[in-house]
Amino acid sequence: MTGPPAGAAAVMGNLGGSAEFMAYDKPHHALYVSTFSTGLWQTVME
Amino acid sequence: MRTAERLFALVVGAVLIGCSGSSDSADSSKGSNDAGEKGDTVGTYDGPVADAACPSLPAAGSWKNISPPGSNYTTTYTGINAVVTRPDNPAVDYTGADSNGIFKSTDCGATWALVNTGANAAAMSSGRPWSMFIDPVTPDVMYVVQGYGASGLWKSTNAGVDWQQILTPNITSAFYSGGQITGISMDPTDHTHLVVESHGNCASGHACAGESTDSGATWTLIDLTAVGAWAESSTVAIVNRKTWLYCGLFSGLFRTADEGASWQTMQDMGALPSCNYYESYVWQASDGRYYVPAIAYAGPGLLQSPSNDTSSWTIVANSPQADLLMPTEVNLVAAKNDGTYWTAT
Repeated sequence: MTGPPAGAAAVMGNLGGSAEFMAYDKPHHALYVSTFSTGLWQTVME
Repeated sequence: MRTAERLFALVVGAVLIGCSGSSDSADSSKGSNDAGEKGDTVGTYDGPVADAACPSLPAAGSWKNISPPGSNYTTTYTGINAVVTRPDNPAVDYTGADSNGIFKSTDCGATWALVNTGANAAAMSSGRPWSMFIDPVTPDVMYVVQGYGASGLWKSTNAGVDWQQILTPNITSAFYSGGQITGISMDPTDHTHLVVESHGNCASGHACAGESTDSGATWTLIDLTAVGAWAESSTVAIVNRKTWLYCGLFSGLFRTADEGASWQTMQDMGALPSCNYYESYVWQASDGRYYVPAIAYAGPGLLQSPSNDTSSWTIVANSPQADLLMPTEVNLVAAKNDGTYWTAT
């Protein structure tokens, strides 16, 4: 994937706290986001 | 530290230098400013990948809270910290919880168990695991820090069960508080090459780092006077053996091409960035360009280099102020410090 010339705000919601770390599981298309105050979250990228 | 002590809400960074893309392209580029000396080994996993099932993934586009039970993220100061996945079995995840230890899942976060049950178990539940790495070539090897807990860099060779502190006395005697670390950076071209930064001014009175080229067996102290005084969330990102970046909170982006001996500031972006992360989030796209998420003083914050050349940077128009960057197979996701997200395809 080449880099982005521009981007847009994603329709991915707000977890109630800023993301502190992210990880991605490519085979399962699973994105992990940790926040300090609202815990560890997971979504599946479309 | 963190939230209460900063003006900005933070976003941070972890693993994956896996997200830093192809390291070979950087090293094979002729005439590139990043044609640094390559390590003796490799930096990415190229073995078989287990096809383990994930029994309870959320629907695409929706979020699911998968916090480990007992991780006390609502009551501890920094809640959930780093999260990483195993390259040989991505259904296996690890996450660190403030003063609660390292948790492991084997089913994509559906269930969790405390994994640091062996040697130095108490030390591994003593602080904030704000930087964690899985060795991409030998995935049973893990590195983690315990911010404001047990000092040092902690290494496990059995997938998180037993842990040993591996910083040598030349580092622990120089680093803040006997070896408090801000972040771990692993060379994307050589998994044995590590850099860690002191989480506070060193004995010398300014910032410093430690470098290992043998998976932490021996360490060399690196003076960081050229990048300014120590600052929160300011870390090194290794591009290759010789070339590193340093993004400092409010101090800007710096680059060394001689393994930390000298540093040059990158001042051609119009506004110096601030980078808020505990681990390096540098990503190399398939066209060779590098990207670093940052919080600039004004305007957009995603920094872009020419192909295979980190000696100059520009700010990507319309990009977000963010300091987490994650490529997926279809897009690039940046987490903004207001809790929202930005993507580019």
